[in-house]
Amino acid sequence: MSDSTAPSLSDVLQATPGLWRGRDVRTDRESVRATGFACLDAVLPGGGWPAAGVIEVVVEASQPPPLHPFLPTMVDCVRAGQRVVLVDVPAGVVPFTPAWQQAGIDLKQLLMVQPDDRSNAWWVIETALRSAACGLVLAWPCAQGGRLGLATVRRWQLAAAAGRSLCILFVPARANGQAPNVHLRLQVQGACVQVLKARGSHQRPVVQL
Amino acid sequence: MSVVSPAQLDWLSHEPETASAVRPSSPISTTAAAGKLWLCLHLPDLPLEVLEGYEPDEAVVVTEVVGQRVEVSAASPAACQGGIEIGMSQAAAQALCPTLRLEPCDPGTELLRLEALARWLGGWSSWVSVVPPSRLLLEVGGSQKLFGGLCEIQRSITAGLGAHGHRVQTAIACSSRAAAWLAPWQAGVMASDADKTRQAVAALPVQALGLPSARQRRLQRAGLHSLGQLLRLPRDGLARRYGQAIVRQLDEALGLLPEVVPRFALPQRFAATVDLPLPESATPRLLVAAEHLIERLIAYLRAHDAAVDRLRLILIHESQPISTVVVGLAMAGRDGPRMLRLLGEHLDRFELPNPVLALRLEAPRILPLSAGTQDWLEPTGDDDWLATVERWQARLGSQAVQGLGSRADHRPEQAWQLGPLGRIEYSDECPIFPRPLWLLRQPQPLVVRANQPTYNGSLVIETGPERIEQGWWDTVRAGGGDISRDYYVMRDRFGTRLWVFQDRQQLGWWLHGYFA
Repeated sequence: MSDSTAPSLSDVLQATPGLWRGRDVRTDRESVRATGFACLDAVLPGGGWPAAGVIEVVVEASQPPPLHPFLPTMVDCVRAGQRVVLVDVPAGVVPFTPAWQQAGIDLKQLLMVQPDDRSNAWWVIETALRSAACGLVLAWPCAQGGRLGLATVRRWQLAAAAGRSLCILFVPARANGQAPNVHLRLQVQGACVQVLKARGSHQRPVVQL
Repeated sequence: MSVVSPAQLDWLSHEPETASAVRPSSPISTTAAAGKLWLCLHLPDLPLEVLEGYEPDEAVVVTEVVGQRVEVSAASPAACQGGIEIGMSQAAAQALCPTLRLEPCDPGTELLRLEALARWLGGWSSWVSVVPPSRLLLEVGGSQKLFGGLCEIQRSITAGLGAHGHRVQTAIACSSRAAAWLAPWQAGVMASDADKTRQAVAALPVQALGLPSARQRRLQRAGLHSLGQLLRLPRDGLARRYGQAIVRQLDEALGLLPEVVPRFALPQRFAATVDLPLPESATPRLLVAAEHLIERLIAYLRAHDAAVDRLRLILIHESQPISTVVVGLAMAGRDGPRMLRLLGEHLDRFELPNPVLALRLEAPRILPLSAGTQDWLEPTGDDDWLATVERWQARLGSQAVQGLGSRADHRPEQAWQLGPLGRIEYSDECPIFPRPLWLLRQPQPLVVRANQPTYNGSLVIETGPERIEQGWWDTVRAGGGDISRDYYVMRDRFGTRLWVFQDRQQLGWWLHGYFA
C-alpha cells in the first residue's frame, strides 16, 4: 500500500454518507435571511437568521432589551410590507418612535400588544407568528413570570413555519436554557454578540457588531 | 335601471345604482328652489298592505275611531265588491259581510313602512320626503337624465312597489304640493312644466285640498267645485272668506311661492332584531341568526356608503335581563364575514346565563366610509391581518393592542405616541441628532461623582451636548412640558450606549434612554 494512493482520513469521512463532524457548520439549511451584519452572517449556520423560526436572546435583568442586531431584519420586514409586533414590552421602557423612524421603520407597520396575563401573551405570540401579514415578533415571554416549556416553543416554531415569520424571544439570564429547542440562542452585551447555541453547529463564536 | 326585480327590492338591502344615497348629514329641511320636479307616490291601500298576511282577494277592512263611532277607513277590493264603502260604520260593514276580517289601523307601522320605502327611494333621488299618512315625495328633476327620463323613473318605481305588494298612484308636477294633490285624483299625470302644472291643478276638485269638512262644504255651497274656479276668484276676497292658508297653498302649488319640503334623514344608528324559532343556547345556532342580522347591516351600510367601528349584540333571554356583547372593530369597515367571525369569537367566550329568545344587533355609530378608512380596508392581503388584530382586541380588550406614532416635537416626552389604531399621528420629520430606540417612561436619576454622572461605573461621552429647550408655553403638562436640557450619548463600561441629559432647571443628571 503506497502513501500516494491511500485516501486521507478526511476524504474517507467526507465520502461516508450519514456521518457528521461536530466542527462543521451545516450549510444545507432550509432558507435563511441575512442579518445585515456580514460578520454575524459568517458565523451563523446557513449564513443568517433562520427565515422562519424562534431565536432566544438572553438578557441581563439590568440591561436594556438589545435591538440593534435585529434592526436590519426589522427594516427588511417593514420594507417588504410585513408587520412587526412587540409583545409584552417591559414596563419601564417604551419604543422611542423617532429613533425607529430614523432607522427606516414605517411606524404604521408596528404594533404593540400588552396582554394582561401570561397565557394571553403566549397566545398572541402564536397567532402573530401564524399570520402571513406579520414578519417579525419581538416578545418578552417571561415578563409575567413562568417558564418556557418544550411544548410552548414547539408550538411557536410550527406557527412561525406556517406564517414564514421570525420570532425573537427576550428572556432573562436566569431563564437561560429553559427552552432547549430554539433555533438559535444569543447573548448580547453592548456591541458584542455571542452565539450560545445554533442548530447545526457546535461552535460558540463571539462577534463584535 | 330598466327592470326592477322583486329580489332587488328588499327595503333594507337595496343597493343604489347611484352615489346619491340619502346622507345622514343632510339638513332636515330645505327650501325648494325653482326648476325642480316632484314625483309624488300615493299609497291608498297602505293601511291594508302593512297588515300581516294581507291578500287583496280576502275581505279585510281597517277601522278607525272617528268621534263616537268606529268607521271603515280602508277596504280590500274583495270587501268593496261586497258593498262595503269607506266611511261606513263597523257594524254596517259586518252586517254586509259576516266573514269580514276587521283590523284596527296602526299609524305607527304605516309610518315605519313609509320610512323603509323612503330609504329605498334614496337610490333614485337624494331628496326624499315622507308625508304621512300615505305619501312619499321625491325630487326627480335632477336624476331624470340618469334614469332615462321621467316615464322610466315612474314606471320603475311603480313596478318596484308593485312587486312588493303596494298599489301606488303617482303624479309629477313642478311643486311638491301640486304633485301631492294630483296623485290621488289624477294618477299618472306628468305635469313637467309650470303651464301643465297649472292646467292639472285647475282640473282638481276642491276635495283635493284636504280641507276640514266644514270648510269644504262651505266652498261647495258657494258653487266652487274645482280648483280652477278658485284660481279665477279675486285673491283678497278668497283669503278673507276662506282663510289666507288656501291662497298660500294655491300659490305654492303653482310655484309662485317657495315651499319647504322636509328631507328624509337617515337615522344615525342601525338596529335590527331577529326572533329565534326556539330558545337557543348553542353558539353555532345563534351565529346563524346573527348572520342574517349582519347581512342586513351590510346592506344598510352599502346603501348609505357608510361603515361601522363597533357592534352591539343584545341577547334577549326568557326570564332574565338581557345580556350584551360589544364587538369593536380594529378599523371602521363593512366586511360582513369579518364581523361574523369576530362575533363568533366573542360569543364563544361569553357564558350564556339562559337560553336566548331573540337577538338584536345595534350599530351605535354610523360613520361615513372615508378615504382614510378605505385605505385601511383594502391594502393587499390585509384581511388576515385585520382579523388577527381583531381577535386580539376581542380577547384582551382594545386598550391592550396599540399602535405607535410620532409627533414633530423636540421634547422627547411629546415626540412619541402610543394609542388605539387609527387614532395616532405619524410625523414624517425625523430628528437630525441620534435618538435611542428605547425611552425610559420616567427619566432615572444618575449618581454623580466628581461632577460626572455614573451608571455601572463611569461613563464616556460619545456625542453631545444637544440642547433641547422648549415648551415654555406648555404649563399644563406636569413632566416634559417646559424643558431645558443638554442631551449626551454616553457609553458605559459594557459598551451599552445611553441617552443621558443634564437638566438645566433642576441641576442633575438623568438617564432617559438606551440605544440598545
